[in-house]
Amino acid sequence: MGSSDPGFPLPLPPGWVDAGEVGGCRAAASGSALLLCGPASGRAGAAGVPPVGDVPAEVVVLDREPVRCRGGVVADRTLLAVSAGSGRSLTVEHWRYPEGHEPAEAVAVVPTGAYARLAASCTAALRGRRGSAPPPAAPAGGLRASLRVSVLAGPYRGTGSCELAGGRARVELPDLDRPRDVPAAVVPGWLAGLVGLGPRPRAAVPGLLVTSRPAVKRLLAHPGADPDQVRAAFGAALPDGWARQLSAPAGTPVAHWRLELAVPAGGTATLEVLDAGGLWSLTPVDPELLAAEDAADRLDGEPVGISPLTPSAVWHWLSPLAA
Amino acid sequence: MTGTITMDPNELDDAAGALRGIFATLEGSAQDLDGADVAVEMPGALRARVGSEVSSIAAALRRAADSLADLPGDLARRAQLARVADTISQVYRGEVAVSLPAGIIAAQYAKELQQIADGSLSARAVTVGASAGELATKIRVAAKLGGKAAAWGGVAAKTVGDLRNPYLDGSRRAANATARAGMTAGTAALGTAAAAGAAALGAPVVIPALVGVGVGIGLTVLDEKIGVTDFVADRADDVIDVGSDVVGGVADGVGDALGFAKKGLGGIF
Repeated sequence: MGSSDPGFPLPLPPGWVDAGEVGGCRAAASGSALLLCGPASGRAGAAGVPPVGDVPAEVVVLDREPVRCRGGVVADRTLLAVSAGSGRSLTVEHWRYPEGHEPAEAVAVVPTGAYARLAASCTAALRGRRGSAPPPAAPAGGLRASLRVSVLAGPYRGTGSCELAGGRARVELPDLDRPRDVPAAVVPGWLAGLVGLGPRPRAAVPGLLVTSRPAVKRLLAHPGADPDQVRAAFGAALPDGWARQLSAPAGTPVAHWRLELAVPAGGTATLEVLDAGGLWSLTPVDPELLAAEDAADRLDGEPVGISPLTPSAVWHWLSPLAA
Repeated sequence: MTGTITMDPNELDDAAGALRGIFATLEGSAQDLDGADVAVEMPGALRARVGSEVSSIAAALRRAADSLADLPGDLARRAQLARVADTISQVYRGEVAVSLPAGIIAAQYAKELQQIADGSLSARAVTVGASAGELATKIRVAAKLGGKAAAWGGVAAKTVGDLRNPYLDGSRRAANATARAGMTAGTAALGTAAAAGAAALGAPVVIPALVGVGVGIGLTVLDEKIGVTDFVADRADDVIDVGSDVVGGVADGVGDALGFAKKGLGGIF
C-alpha cells in the first residue's frame, strides 16, 4: 500500500483484508463477505461492475433501525435480501452515516447462507469497531434438514414443508400451486415473503415475560387495548413497561407463524413468532423452571415466554437455510 | 489450540437422554451383582474374597448411578434454559441486557438464565474456510469481469420465473421495479432512510447505488466461481435461444471461472 493510499476507512476486524478500490468503492473481504465504502452516487457500474439493475434480482427491505456506532455516531442501518435470477441469494447490510462522517455510507454483502456466521464480524466493522475474526466456514455440502412451516394467522394461512439437501430444496408451502424444486438459497427469501417479514416497530421492553397461551389469546382479542385492559387480559400484576408495550399488539392485524427445523442427527430448533404491532417470539417454558410448583396452574394454561424480536433476528434464523 | 466453548440445547437434550441410559445400565448392573450367586464350586476363602469384591463393585456402581441420578434432569433443564436464553439473545445480538420478570422464574434459574444469555449459544459445527486474501484478489479480478456477468444476467432474465419469490406482493414488486429502473437510470441518490421508511409503508423503494455496486460485485464473484457453469448446464436451451454474442460472453466467463478453480481458489464459498 503506497503512502498516499488512505486505507480502508473503517477499522477491519481480524481476518479481513483491504482489497483496494473496486468499482469506485473501497473494498475489504473476509471469507465470502465483502465490505464496500462509498462514494456511490452516480458511480454505479464504474470499472465494469454491473449495478443491480443489470442483474435480474429481487430486492426486499427486511429491517431498518438506527444503530449507535463508535464515537456516539448514529448510523441508519437497512438490512436487505437480494435474490438473483440465477438462484443465488445475498444479504446486504447498508449503513448510512451522518453528514461529515467518513465514509458517508458502507455496505456489507454476504451470501445469505453465510450471513448468520459473518454478521457479527461485518456489523463490528460497520460500527467502527475492530470486533473479532469471523468463525470459520461450515463444511461444504449444504444443509440437510426438514422444515415444517405453520402459518396460524396471516395472508397465507396453512401448513407446508421444506426438505433441504445438497443445496436444493423441495418446498411445499401455503398458497403455492404445486411443490417446487428450487435452490436452497431462495428458501429464506420465500419464507420471509410468506410471513411478510419487513421493518417493524421495536419494542422497548427488555427480556422475557412468562405468561400463558390463553393470556396471549385474550390480549389479541382486545380491540385497541390500553395498559389497564392488558393487565386485565393477563390477570396478573404486570410491570408498567410490559403493560404499555403489550398494548401495542392488542387489536392490531395479526400474523402468527411457527417454523420447526429438524436435522437427521436429531437436532431441532423452533421459531414461533407473533407479528402484531412488532415481532414477538413465543417460547414454551418448562413448568419446572417456574418459581412455585403451582405457578403453571395459576398461569391458566401452557406457560410461554413472550419476548420482543427484530426482523434482523428472524433473518438470522432463516439465513442458514440457504447454505 | 484456541476455541470457543458453545452450548447447544439439542446436544444437552441428547446428553440427558444418554445419561438416563447410562444411569439405567449402572443401576441394573448393581442390582445384578447384588443378586449374583458366586458360591458355586469355590473354596471358602476365595468365595469370601470374590463375594467381597462383587459387593464392592456393586456398591461402586450404585454410587456411580446415584451420582448421575440428578444429571439428566439437570441437563434437560439447562437445555430449556439455553432455549429461552437463545430467544433473548436473538433479540439483543451481543448487547444482552436481560431483565426477567421478578418472581415468575425461580430465582436460581433466573440467575442461571441470565448467565447463559450473556454468553454465546451458537453451536454451529465449523471448519476452517478460505483465506480472506484469496477473496480480496478474486474480487479485484471479478470487477474486471463485470461486463460478462451483466451479459449472462440478460440471459438469466428469461429463466427466472420459477425462482421468483411467489409471496412478494404488489407493493414489493413495485419496489423492485423502481429499484432496477432507478439504478439503470443512475438516479439512485435517494437516501436509505427515505427508502426504508417508504418500505415500511409499502411504497416503492429506490435502492442506494452503493448497494447496487455491492450486489453486482457479490453476484459476479459468486456466479463467476460457482454459478456460470451450473447456469449453462441447466439452461443450455435458453443460452442457445439468446444468440452467439451472449453465448460467447458466457463461455469466456466459464473459462475464467475454471481458471480460478485451477489456481486453488475453490474453497472460497
